[in-house]
Amino acid sequence: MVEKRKNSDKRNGISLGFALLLLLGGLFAGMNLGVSSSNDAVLTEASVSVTTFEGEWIGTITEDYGAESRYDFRITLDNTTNTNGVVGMSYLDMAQEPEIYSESPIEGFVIGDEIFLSQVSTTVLENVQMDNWCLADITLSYQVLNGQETLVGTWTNAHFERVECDGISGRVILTRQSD
Amino acid sequence: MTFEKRKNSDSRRGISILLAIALVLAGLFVGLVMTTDNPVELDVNPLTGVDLSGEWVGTTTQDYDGDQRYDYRMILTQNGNELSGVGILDMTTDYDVYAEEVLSGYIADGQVIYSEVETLVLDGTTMDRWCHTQTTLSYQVIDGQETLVGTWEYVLDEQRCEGITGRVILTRQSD
Repeated sequence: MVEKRKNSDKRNGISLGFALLLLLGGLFAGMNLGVSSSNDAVLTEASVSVTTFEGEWIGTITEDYGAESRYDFRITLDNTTNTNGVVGMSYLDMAQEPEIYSESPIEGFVIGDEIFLSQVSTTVLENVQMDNWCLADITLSYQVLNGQETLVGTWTNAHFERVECDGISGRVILTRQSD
Repeated sequence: MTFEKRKNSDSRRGISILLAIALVLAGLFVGLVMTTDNPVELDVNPLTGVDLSGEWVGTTTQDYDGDQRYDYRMILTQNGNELSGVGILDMTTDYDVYAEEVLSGYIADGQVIYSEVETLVLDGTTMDRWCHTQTTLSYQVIDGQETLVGTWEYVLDEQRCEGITGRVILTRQSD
């Protein structure tokens, strides 16, 4: 007579292995479902590339010092031959008096969902003197809020600017211009 | 006496199927919980503890015809879930339209909803070419910066205004 060993029932062994597979399968499916549902409001960093930033953006730039002025702010961005590089133009039009207007070429680069821009020169400047004007370094985060593409961030005086410009700063909020 | 064993009379098999279903469901649940950033916070109203009273500055667009845009400033007073205030629009493009609007609204489901209920000042255009709108905004703090982002639409019954829409982006004006 052969005594049946414990666990010699093959069905029991298969059942345990199968159960483990089912658990792992459920876990995998659940994780995928979770990822897709959390992407609805905000794009993940992986889905943002330099081409995401190309085009025209409109909004507001503030000066958070002195008289706390603000400007209608428009930028156009294009990708450069450099993989993460961008070039473009920025246009500032003061919302209050005096009606300062400025046009500046901008250059920068993209890292993940952030874009780093510098105004590199001033090609047009109205109603203010160049010695009272400072170029800016701008850092913006890309977000999709309720389906609306936005760039939100801050600016400081450009890193190469003269000493008189030190310490000035402000905020930027932009939305993509519709086609 | 013998009796024939019925199919599926092996109780272990029945338990095994139930257990399998339970394991799949458990795996799904754990997977969902693991990949949701913070499932508890999803139900939290982003405006809880936030007082929207004060000045907000930004831009509002007209997303039709000439795609105009305005410098937009809003001074809000919040009382519980009720909002009141003034919206000031100053066109930055072609025509120099300027308007001051009385605002009335409320907070619901984590969103800011308000309507223009009266025009106090209107320069550069006439009332028969002007429409009162309803705006819906979401509050977000992005990199420490308070923002209100959303859209506006026309919801009343004047035919000439039907279908017009636009967007609003605002940041809290610093003190």
